[in-house]
Amino acid sequence: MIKIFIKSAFRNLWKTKGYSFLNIFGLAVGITAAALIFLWVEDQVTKNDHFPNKKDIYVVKSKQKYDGATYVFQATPGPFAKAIADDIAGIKHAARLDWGQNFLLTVGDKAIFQRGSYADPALLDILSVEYVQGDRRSAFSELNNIVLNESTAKRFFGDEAAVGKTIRVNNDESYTVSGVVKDFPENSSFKFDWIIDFKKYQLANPWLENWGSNGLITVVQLEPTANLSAVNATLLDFAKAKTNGEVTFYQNFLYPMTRWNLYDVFDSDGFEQEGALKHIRLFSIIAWVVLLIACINFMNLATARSEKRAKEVGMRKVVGAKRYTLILQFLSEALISAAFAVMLAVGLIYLSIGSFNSLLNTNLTVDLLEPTHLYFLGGILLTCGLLAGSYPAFYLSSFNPLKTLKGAKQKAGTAGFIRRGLVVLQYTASVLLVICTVIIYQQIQHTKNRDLGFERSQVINTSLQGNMAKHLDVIKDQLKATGNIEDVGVSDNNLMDIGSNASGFDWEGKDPKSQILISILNADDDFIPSLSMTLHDGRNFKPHFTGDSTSVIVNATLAKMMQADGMVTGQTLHWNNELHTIIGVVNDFMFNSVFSVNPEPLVIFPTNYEYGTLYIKTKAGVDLPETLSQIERIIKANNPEYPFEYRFLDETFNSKFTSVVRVQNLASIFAVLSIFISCLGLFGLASYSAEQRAKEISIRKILGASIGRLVGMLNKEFILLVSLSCLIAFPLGWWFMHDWLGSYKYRIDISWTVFLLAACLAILIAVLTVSSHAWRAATANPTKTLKEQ
Amino acid sequence: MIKITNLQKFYRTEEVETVALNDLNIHVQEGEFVAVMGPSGCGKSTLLNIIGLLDDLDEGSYVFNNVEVAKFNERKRSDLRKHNIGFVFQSFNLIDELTVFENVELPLIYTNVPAAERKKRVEEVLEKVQIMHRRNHFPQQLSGGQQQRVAVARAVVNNPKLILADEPTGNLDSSNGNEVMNLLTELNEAGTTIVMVTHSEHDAKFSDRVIRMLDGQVIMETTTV
Repeated sequence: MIKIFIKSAFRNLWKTKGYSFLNIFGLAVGITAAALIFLWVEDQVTKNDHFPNKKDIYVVKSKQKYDGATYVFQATPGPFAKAIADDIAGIKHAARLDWGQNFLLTVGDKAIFQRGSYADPALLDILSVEYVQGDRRSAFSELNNIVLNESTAKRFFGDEAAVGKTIRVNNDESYTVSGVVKDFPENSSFKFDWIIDFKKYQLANPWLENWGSNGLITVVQLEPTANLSAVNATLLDFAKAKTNGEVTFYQNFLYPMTRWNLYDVFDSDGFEQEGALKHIRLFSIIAWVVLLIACINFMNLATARSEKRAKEVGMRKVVGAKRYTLILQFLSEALISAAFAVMLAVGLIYLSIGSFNSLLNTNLTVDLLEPTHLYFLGGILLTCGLLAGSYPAFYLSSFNPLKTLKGAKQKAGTAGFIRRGLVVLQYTASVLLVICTVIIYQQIQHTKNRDLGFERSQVINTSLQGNMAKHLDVIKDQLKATGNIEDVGVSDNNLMDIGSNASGFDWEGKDPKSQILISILNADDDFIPSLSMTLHDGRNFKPHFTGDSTSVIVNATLAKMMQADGMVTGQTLHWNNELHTIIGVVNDFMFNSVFSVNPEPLVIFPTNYEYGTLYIKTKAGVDLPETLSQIERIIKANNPEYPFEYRFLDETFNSKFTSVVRVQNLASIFAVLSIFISCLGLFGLASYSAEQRAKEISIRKILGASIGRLVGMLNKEFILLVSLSCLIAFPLGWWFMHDWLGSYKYRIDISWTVFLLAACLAILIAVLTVSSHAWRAATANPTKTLKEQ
Repeated sequence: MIKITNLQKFYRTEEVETVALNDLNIHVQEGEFVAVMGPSGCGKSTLLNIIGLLDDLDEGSYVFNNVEVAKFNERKRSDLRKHNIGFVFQSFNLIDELTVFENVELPLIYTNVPAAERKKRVEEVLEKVQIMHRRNHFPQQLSGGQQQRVAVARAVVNNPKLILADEPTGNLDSSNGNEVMNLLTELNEAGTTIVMVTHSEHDAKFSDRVIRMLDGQVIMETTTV
């Protein structure tokens, strides 16, 4: 019996190859889309799962209040870790680490930039790192020890033992490799190529002794039995207590590793908000909807085909088929189709995962033997097969044999209603996604094209490192002498990422109660011209800061806080027991966030650091490859030990859009898929409708209806359905996007043209899909159709 | 009115070619009532479809009202059809979703007759076939005879020169059948040319001339009067 089921299932699939392909392909596309998203979700929610102590690991957060708003930072002072480990019960380990550094590691003639951190040895205990060479005891026995991860060790020493070998760091000091640890997996919050004992860092940075300087990350592991709220209660005013009430501008709390990846966003009252979880949830919902739509589509196309099989059902019943055997037959057909779809989907997943990864900047992999993946695919097969097969199975098998043999039509009834409802649902999702994609795109373009207050094109960034600071004047002169370079400016932080800020600034007329957090940048006299910034008032620094050692330049935002017209040249700022004279006001330029309406207040100090960023502004129309090689030659000549690495300021700017572009990419993929699957649904419904109305079409044609008129008649019904979808999708789309845009201060207004565009697109695609059927029905020989009916 | 010469019609499938009409010649004068008879499968319906421009001919000539129409494209045929030819089928072929009035109105819509004029003409013709009282009913609510009267009304509402009837009484009992035949006779007497395919010798007697076919050819023509 089963053999007959399978055989006739295969024959039926083969007999209607076109339909079977559409049906299977549609489901496969749905499964593929859902599977890719679920892989991404899996990756996101299992982040850091490989740390055995995950549930006991925390990072120390710092709450600071400025001007009524609460800011949450992840920065702590140097003495913090040891003090809490000593004083607070329940803390098993506390370890400090810096924010990560790119160091040039050199072994023989191999010199590579590698990223790592200075960290307390306890961090490796908290993270349960596994040693491949060396051990925990000897790893940090000497100050000039360095621990490498496996791939870095392999890069320098191949298969040889690395422990005991010497590595030059930044062409300055030699370190001995004291341990090699396993690489952390891709979805880990911690990634090190190397680790050096934090003590080494502390020796070079005496400010780390200060309770008032927050510049480090502190990671904590609690005892499994520890009482978190008791620990947090002590932490809240811990710094204040330790400094006898001297340091009061921050309060601390522990933030669990389990929430780092999904939340870690805080509102202006300091309350935790959903971070990535928002997107994860949104895309999970969309993935389920796509899967559901694909699945119901599958069912829809099958019922639409039922008309053709009504006679077969009647005949089978007449020769004695029981209803349950018919049900089994249809279910086995659906299951076989679903199995094909799952197999095809697996192929599609393997084919598309590479592009999906590059689109989302992830490193997802499919492992078919992984039980969750197997269960997922098996679950989809059974769910889709049974769900998609059940309706046609029960519907077709209920046909009255006598009527079907006589050729009478079975009334669609609720089935027709469901089918129409489904098309409306599908198109609502499609129109909604089109609206979202277009608005996200507009918002990105709007921000990208805004006036940033500086010229970002044709500016090349490279790091100031090694001996470059010593030869800076020579480098600048040589670069300008090429004739291709206009200006070369320097600042300590890249202006797209100004990490330092401070409070405690004072000026005449300032409300003594208000605490304002002001960003700080150290720059030279060429910084402003190299980025084509303009001055609102006053002047720029003089070359070599002659007479400008206590001068500062402020941005217009700060100047306007001090005085409404912003003309504050000549006034003094009081900070850190020093007086600084304002010599100029630079017109506002955007730094850090490109989505704010105005930049934060900023002070620019005239300081030459040994490290920082060089802004090399090329002249218009220069030969870029030639200019780059000139720059490389000049910099390498002055700093031979370091490789020349550069980035265009444009790229740095564009990287600010990474996460929003990711959302846009996902939304557009789903929009296209959703339209595609909706078209399949519409195609099925149109074919069903054309079949149902074949007699009517023939009669109308005989009576003189033109083909155009008939095509229009068949289209009308679907245009109405799609229009209904638009009516549902418009308010939803407006609401979603209004909410989404709300998180950007610099944003577009939603335009009605977006809705018009989405509606036109949806209707156009619907008409194209339906018209192929309508055309076939309208051009068929009417007498033949009438004879068949 | 109709002059068909050396008509050939084949039906082809992948493997076989069947000759449906073979070297057929027919001549119908304006105002004539012609019955076409013959066993099932002899090609009479195919012939009717070709005369009604619903089907192509493969070879030969078809002159309708002194115009050669064998090579007409779909648009021209549709145009000629809706202005000149009315159809009556054995299975009535009314549209189930439309009322009696709307069914009869359809041909007028397709010839762009204005709404007021349409109403007048539909009502006239419904009066004529005595179905006016059922104008707002749906086809399923009518008896077979009534449905065929509606179909006849629909066929004549555009005042066609030619009515093609394919076994118009095949689904009717004898009294309803006679009613329909009387209706066709009246139309013919008013000047409409009628070509009717039938199995019934009784119905054939209503015509002026009987053409008998076998295997796609005319084998005999007899005048009934």
